[in-house]
Amino acid sequence: MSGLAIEIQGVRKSFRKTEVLRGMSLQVERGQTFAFLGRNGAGKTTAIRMLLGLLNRDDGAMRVLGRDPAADPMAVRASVGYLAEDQTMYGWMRAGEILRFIAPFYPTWDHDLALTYARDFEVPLQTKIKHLSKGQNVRLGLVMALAHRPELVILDDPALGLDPIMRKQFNRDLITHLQGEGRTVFYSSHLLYEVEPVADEVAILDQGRIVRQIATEQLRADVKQIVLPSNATQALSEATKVLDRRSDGDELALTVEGAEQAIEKLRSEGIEHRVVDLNLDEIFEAYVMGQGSRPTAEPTVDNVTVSQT
Amino acid sequence: MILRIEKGSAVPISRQIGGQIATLCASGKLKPRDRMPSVRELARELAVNQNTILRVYERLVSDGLLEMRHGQGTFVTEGAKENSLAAHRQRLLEELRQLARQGVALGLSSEQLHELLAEAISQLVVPNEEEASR
Amino acid sequence: MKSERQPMRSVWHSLLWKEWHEHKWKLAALMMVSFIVVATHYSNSYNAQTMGVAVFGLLVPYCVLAGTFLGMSTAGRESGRKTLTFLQSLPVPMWRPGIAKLSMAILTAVLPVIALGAFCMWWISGEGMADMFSFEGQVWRATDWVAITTIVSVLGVTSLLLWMAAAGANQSDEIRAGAVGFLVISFVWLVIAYIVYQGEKRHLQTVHEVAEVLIAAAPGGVGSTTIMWRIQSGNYLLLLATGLIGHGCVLAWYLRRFGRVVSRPSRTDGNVSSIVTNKNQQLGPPMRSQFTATAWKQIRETGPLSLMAVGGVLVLATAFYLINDRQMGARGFGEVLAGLTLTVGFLVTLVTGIGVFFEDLKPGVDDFWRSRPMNFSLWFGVKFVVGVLTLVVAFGTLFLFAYWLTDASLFVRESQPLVVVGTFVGIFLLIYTLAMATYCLLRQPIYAAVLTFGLLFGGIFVVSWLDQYHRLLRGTEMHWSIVLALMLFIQVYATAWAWQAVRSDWGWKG
Repeated sequence: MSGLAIEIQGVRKSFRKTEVLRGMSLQVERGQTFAFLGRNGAGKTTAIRMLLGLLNRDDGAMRVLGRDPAADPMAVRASVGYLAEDQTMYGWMRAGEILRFIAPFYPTWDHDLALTYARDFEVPLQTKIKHLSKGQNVRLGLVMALAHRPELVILDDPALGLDPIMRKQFNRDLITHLQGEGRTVFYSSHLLYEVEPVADEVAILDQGRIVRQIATEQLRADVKQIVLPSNATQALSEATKVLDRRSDGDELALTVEGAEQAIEKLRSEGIEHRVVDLNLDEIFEAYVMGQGSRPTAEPTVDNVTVSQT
Repeated sequence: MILRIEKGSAVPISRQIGGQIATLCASGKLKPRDRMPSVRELARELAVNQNTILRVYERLVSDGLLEMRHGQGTFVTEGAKENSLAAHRQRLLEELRQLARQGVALGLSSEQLHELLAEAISQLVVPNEEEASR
Repeated sequence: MKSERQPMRSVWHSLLWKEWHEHKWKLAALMMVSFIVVATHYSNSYNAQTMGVAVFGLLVPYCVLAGTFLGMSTAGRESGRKTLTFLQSLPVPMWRPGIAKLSMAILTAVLPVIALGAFCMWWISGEGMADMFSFEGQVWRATDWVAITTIVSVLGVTSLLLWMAAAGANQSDEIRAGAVGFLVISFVWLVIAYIVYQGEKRHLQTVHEVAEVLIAAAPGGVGSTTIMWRIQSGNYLLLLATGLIGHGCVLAWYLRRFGRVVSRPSRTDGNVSSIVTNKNQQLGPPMRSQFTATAWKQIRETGPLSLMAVGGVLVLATAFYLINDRQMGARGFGEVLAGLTLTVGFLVTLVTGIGVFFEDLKPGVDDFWRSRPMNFSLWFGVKFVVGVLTLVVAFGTLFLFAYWLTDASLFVRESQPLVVVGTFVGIFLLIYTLAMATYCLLRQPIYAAVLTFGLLFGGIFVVSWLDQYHRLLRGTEMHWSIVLALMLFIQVYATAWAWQAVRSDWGWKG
């Protein structure tokens, strides 16, 4: 069995004339918590719907737990727990009823586990779904995504519409119930500071392709802003990928990938410079909005394995 | 043990947690042989990835602040205070160097920088003495 | 094209522009269907008598359907599509969008009637068929008949639409609005019937007459033959005043209610968690199989409407019976019941057909069940069959009850009663399937209803055309097996389309 929970290779998808995914590739190792980042409309939901076989791709290859979702959607859906973006459920059912209803569709459904989760997540089982709050709705969706003990859980922007307290509670649930049990979690988000404490690895989707996939911790060390005199840029421009470039008089602020080597190079050449640590939002902005030398070739994928327990 | 995580900060979360534990060791709030919360507990409490907490603990073990006893948990070492001071010394030096560079860039002389540092210390003396007298 | 940069001239301009865009296709669809139906008769009617009856025969179901569906949509579409909060946030009082919506809906309902009336007038006068014509014992000139039928239909459909919109306003979706509207309308008729009954029983002529005048204000009441008779006898001023005042009140009721709803605040998690920990945290056992789960869901979705329809038919039959045929005893009641079961059954079958996948194909919910590992064939099959069974149980019971009341004499006049019953069942099944298939493909209840109606009459047109062709060719009537084969073919074809649409997520997603 391959060590990858999700494998996407050069996937393309167009809707009418709009090309949403343009050769997207990424790999998710088993047991990881993987955050899938991108602006609204970057194609996150499209990619996730493909992972469940809800959409067909135009080109490329895709494997979810070793299976092709387009060829065998039912097997994928049975082994994956899925929570859709802003999931709407039958409003007239009570929370308890929908759990009883959905149970026979999953061969591995564990009804006691469903009840345990419902209690842990404080989902009121006698309440009709249309009367649940946003947070309860998301957590009911999470119970349904988890109660059949899936190996892989795919969550499409679960934090959307949750208030800060509920988001923290949600992150806690994620850590205790998913990471704690060694499941693979693939979730999309546009809130980076919420993702950072939780995710092992992140991928940034922009304009239909992954512009970076890297361990969360390493991203900080790898992408930094370097401020240097504008006449000294020659020293960097060859080997270093510049994401964003801002000039202010005789000073130039470059946001670069591979910051450690770049700084080493500047130091060895004795060029005066300042290094600014960036937060995740700034790094993300540099990737999706940056005025740098955008790579036109295939996007880079750093195969970084995080030490597992 | 009270730790605080600042989201969206430029300081990575693992460094925030590691730094705060080291400070607690240095100030004596964490005493030798104190039992640390398990990786799982701390991860849940802070809502932070378990692997991140594990890496922090591992680094603190290699710095000599914590020790992992198989089957018993993680404990503060006998030499935690001294070791954390050594680690802090390194970090403080780095931060002072940054400050000094800024000062030089602003055109301050070495004497003026020393004066500023002395002034900053003098503002701290009162609470420190109070603490010591307790 | 107008310049994009120009703002619209006024609030009314904006509101009417929006409503026009939401109604134009409905208008086109209704126009098309009406003219298809007329075309069926145009091709095989040869005199004013048949033509007159045909126009009447078209306009009665047209008024009921257009009034019901457009009223339903006026009342419930905005909240069903979650756009009501947007309308509420506009800095104009809610009665203005309410008026704009209602007037455009009425226009949509009325224009096809007028067009149809005008066409028939032109046709009758052009063909020189202005001969005399009799209907229910009265003699008319054909043009007068068409003119009066048109006017009464315009008034009738407007009245029904208004009542429906007012009664169903603020329900959470169109189907609910329709259900509530149906109940209110049934109730109004029951009250009027009760007054008529009491007046007659106690020989209070004035009470009886007052009640008959009240009919002018009742939903669709202007369309009743009583009113037509009154117009002839010259008592129309009183009726007109009652109708105007009555409908004025309904309009005021609609405007007071439309959009004036505070969306239910979602509870905060904190409040609920205290309830949660205390009680009610039991979870029943999981359902035994996918089959049970799907059937349970379908009964819960279809059942209430069928139950309500049964109640409504009983109420309406009682009302009708009290007003008209009281002398006929249980047998008369049985006949009224049987007639109403067929009429309401037609409407409810249509709505149930649309309702089979109504909720499943709503955006959002669509993804919810699609992303589960389910057997689509089982899902589709169970939903289809359970929907049919609910209808069969509900209307079968009613019909058997009527059959029992009439001492099994319902079909005495028919030579082959089983064929008659079979034909009705077949047509109802066809309506159900067509409504389901068109909804699955169009995903808009109103268009699905109109298209079903159109397909049905288109089918009748094809059959009558085939029949004529056959008679020309062979000199005999067409054999019933050809019709049966045609119905079966459409049934299978529509089912296949619906199944494809559900399985492969085909359909117009707006």
